[in-house]
Amino acid sequence: MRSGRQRQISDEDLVRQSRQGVESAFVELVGRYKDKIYNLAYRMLGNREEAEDVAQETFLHTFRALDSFRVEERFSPWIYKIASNLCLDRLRKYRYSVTSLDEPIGPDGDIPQQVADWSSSPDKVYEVNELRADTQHAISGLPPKYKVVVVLRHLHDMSYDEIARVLNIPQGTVKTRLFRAREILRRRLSRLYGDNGRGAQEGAAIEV
Amino acid sequence: MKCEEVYQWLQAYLDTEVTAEEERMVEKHIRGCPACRRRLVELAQTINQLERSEELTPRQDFTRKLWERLQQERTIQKRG
Repeated sequence: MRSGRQRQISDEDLVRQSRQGVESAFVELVGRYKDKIYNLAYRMLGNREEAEDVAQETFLHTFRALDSFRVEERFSPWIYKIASNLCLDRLRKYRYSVTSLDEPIGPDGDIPQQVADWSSSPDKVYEVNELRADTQHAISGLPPKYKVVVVLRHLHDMSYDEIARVLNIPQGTVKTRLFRAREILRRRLSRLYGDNGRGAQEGAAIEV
Repeated sequence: MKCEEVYQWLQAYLDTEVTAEEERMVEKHIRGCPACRRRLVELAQTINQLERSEELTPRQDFTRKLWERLQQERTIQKRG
């Protein structure tokens, strides 16, 4: 059990201590961020093994770069930036070998495609797990630069401004990508809920 | 105001990233426009769906494995 006092130490102070060689300070940072970074990587990559690997890489990079961290800034956007870039790099490398819409899905790629095919049986009552699988499937079909914005916004609860800082892009670009991504997802989910693509026709005029 | 013009405010409205004036504008438009109202509901459902995704945790030995890699790196640095 950690004491209440320890929990109040800021991330930035932990970085300062880590720089001075206090190992427990870095362990504490890992403890605070490992779930968040792992979930980010999982949503981006759709696979537990890869997510674990990227999360490890993120902390290794973070550790190596501790000295270049500017202490007047916040730690959280910094580590998210490292993790997001690693995920995007990995997706870029796989761009030509992965056709995500046709891939098996699920935590370890073990859910067959037909379970998640929302267009095939609109009247089917979906189980909770299948709906979750659909969500992951929906995200995994998005272009990486859209996907990362959706993940940061909806799974990490970041504002437009925070996302802009993490990804080093203008707020206007964050909005454009987020809105387009959600429009794509809205149309797919609209089909899933049995609206026979009506939403798709309405949305077609919007997505330029 | 046209639906295309209101659309991006509709999206920002759901994120509560609009000014009070923009908020009034969106609400006025959706009161009179069933198509945008429907789109707003669907977008809200989409977001709700995304945010319901379950949280996962890495393997229990995550920190230990990381620590081993860090120690290895340090040993190599020291030797170098």
